[in-house]
Amino acid sequence: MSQPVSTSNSAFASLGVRGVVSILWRYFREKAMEQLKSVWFILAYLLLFQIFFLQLPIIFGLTIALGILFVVIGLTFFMEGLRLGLMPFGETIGAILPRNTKLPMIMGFSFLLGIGATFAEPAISVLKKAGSAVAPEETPLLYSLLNEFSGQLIMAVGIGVGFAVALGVLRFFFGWPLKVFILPLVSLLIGLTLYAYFNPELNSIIGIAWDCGAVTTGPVTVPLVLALGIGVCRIIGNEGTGRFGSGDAGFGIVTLASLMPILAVLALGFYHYLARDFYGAEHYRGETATLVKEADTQPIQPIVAKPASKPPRFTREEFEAYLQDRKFTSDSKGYHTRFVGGEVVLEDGRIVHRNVEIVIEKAENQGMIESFFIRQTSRPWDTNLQFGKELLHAFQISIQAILPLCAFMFLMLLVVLKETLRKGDEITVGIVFSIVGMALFVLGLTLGLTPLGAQLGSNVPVTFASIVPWGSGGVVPPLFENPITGKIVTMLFAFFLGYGATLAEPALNAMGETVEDVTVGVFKKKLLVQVVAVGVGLGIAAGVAQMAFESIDLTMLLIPPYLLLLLLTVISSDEFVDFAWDGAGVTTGPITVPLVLAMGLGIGANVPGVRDGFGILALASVGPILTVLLVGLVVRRSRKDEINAVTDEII
Amino acid sequence: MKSFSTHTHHSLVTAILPRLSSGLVINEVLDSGGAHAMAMSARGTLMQEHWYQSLIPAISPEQEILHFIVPNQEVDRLMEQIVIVGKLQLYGAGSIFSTACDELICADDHPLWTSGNYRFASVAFDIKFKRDLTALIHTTDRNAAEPIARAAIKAGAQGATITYVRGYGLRDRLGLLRITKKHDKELITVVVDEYDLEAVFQAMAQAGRVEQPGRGLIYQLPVSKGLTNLASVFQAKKHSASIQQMVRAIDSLQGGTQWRANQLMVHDPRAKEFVENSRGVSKELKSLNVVSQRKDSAALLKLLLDQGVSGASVSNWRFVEPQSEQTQGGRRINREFGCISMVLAPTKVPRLIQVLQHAISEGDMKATCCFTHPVPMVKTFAPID
Repeated sequence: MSQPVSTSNSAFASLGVRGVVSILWRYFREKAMEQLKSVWFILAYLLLFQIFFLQLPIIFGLTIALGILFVVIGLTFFMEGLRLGLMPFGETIGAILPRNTKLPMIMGFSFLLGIGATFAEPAISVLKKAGSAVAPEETPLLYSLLNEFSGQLIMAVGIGVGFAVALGVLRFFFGWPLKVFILPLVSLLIGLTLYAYFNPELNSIIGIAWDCGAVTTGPVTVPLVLALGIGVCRIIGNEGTGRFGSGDAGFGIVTLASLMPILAVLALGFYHYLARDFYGAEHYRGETATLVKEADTQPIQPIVAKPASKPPRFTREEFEAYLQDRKFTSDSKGYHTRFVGGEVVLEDGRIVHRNVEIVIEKAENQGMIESFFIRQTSRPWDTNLQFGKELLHAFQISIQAILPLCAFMFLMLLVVLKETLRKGDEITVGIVFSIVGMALFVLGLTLGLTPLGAQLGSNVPVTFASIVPWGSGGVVPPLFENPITGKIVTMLFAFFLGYGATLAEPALNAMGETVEDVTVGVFKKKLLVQVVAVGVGLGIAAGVAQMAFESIDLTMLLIPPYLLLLLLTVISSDEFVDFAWDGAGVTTGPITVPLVLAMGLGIGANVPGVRDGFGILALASVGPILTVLLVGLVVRRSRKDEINAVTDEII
Repeated sequence: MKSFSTHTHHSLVTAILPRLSSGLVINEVLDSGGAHAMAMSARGTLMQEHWYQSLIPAISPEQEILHFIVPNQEVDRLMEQIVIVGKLQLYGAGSIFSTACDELICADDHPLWTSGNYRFASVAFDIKFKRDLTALIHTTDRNAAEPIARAAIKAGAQGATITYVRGYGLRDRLGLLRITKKHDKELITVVVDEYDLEAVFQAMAQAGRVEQPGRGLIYQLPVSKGLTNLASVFQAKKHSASIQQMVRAIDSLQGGTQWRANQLMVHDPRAKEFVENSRGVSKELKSLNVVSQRKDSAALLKLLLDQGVSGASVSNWRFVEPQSEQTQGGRRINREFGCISMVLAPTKVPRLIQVLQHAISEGDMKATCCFTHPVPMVKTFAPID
């Protein structure tokens, strides 16, 4: 009480420039350390694995280091922006909605917000690009969806998300449990997927449908939608429902937002299948001649390590040189010797090979690759990179993702809800932070994390196959003689890749904080994030196993886990159902997806008969639901006594 | 100009209940003609019996804190009803206590609980409320509460309840630079026997290191009467009967809960010395609580800080009333209230209340009220004057 009373202006003045800078610096440092805590694992892991385990150098090291720096700074600003701006904004609107307007208006607003969030999601534009990489003759329906009907496709996804948000909010008004939605929806999806699976024309759209579900729940949509739900639930009481628990805390919209688009895309596919107006079908209106690709859409170029070609052979000159002095003029590493045929006997205590052929073969070209590496490490900067252009592009993505949504919400607040924005200055600062942060984050991903992941991911098959390492020209032999061992090592690698990438995922971290906040620390962020990360790791390892061992088809691999999930969902408590399904929705974000895809493509290119790595992502969503629900069951078991002691008497 | 009425015969009844029973209690109280219930989410703290439990992030019991501001003649019946509905006589079922308000100043549009409407009829009731209880409240930084709560339990408190509040003070004088510091605080509420007060106070103050700057404060709140039955230990699975079951069995054998009073504890004389004389302890203060709609609490808070209040914490309450609007699904649309709490010298209270009343009239803020409690003892970094 003895402190002098001062207004904000004089505080600024009395602190002075140095004081202000010092406060800001400490603030920034604290926040940056928080982000470093979530990304260090995946960074250290990727670097150490490439350098010490695979013993391959990092190409473009300086560019990647700069990119990683941008990722950390970007995440720092973005997460702080979420905390200060986007999430309070969403929550405020959510808490005003039920009081100031009627239900149809709320539904309309939620629907529009869902559609807007979809269009804003940066990942959605990937769908447009993906179209040109599809061969129309092999998968005509998929080709048509991604090309002529790409507008409809994105609209379908948008409407799916819109319905999801509206339905999610409606759920809070009526107090329906999330299970009521999940069980029929997932059953329907499984049914449709199975039907499509056995239909040769529909088969191709399964992958895109499930991927759309994962794509829509990105780092902007998730926090916004979560905050909206929490705002609504803040004031809607659960006293009258007979169900008391944090199951009603405001979660579940994310789940619906990742399931409904799958349904929407499948429905769109079925519609065009029945209308027979896709490429090559009877009512196809497009011209076959227009199939010439547009100049500006570049097909996605998978950057992968190529499988090794046959080992090089000795030339006539080398043979003649060998005949002269039984020795090679070049260095001795270039060949190896093996024995073929003959018999081995023990004779006078000596082991003797009789009648054996001695074969001298030229080794795979290691001399060449070493010199290549020396050249590369001395050239750490990727000269093809246009920094200014990338930076501009990153800001463009970021502004497009955040600003229109905020403008829409602001208009809604002023015009429809007729409230003023409280703490407007904080929220504005937060939104600016989010935009800057997301731009730097996207730039950092382009410069650093994606190339690093691409290098490493495509180099991983070296554990079981001979490959040409990423960006180089030589051949490296497999690290393990036994391909089974190699493949198991690959699975282990995949597990930790998925685990580490998930820990760094911003949407999951935001959700973890929200869960901790809403439940007053009953469910810690650490618990949720770790359990989800282990789940993603397991899912990805399973996906890699499926690719590396060429065993089962993706659809067959997805259906059984989903059936198991349905069973677990039925027997789990509401709160864990919410956390598990929402957690799964947020895992496939901007850090995990490129890393996993790069690895998938790398493995796919080195294992004959495997197409791509897309299925891994679908499995990466199953894993966390499974682990969270299982943890929930264990926790419930261990808490059973305590809860029963109270509740069986009361209820 | 709004008119304000002053009441001196009201009490604050606080019930700490597991989430599973709090909804039931609210419904029953409102059905019996209760005027309101103010609810906020909380979590309990459980001691860990095994070392490996510390490796797993703990999932604490979910609780809710309910507040009722009730005229004194209805306090007994309300507490009785809550005990009966929430089965508070059972071990682990929660706790309840009442605190007399020195003053309750209400704006005329505040839904005050007036006597007469509450229809709950007292029944034959064999549970005695304890009259020798006191409450300790400790505010601290987010994620710092757990060790303090455990220290309190070890020192003899029966259960500790943690809520999230927002702390305001010095940093809010920094203009936009305030974003550099989080407002998130945790608030630990503990009810102890007066006999254990000094030991628990010392244990909490030392675990929370309140004598250091920026570590929050701990204060004592007198309790008129109450009952505490919060669980405090993680259940060990190896026992065939749970500790709750055993305690309950003995309860019914003994015909009451009196046997559980831990009278045998021997006290460290240094605890008394610590409470009496350690640095930063102030005595005979008041706590001022300002209840308003959540959206107005920011403006009131700024006003209070400008008036020289050194720090305040804000908790958000769901204000549940019988006559609230409902969604189409039949769920209540509750109002949200913010409660600004601060501890200060009694001499400052009247002037602050005047300033508040003026601002409330000026800003046309709805449904406000404020009430004060005596605070016998506070400990923080700087003595409060």
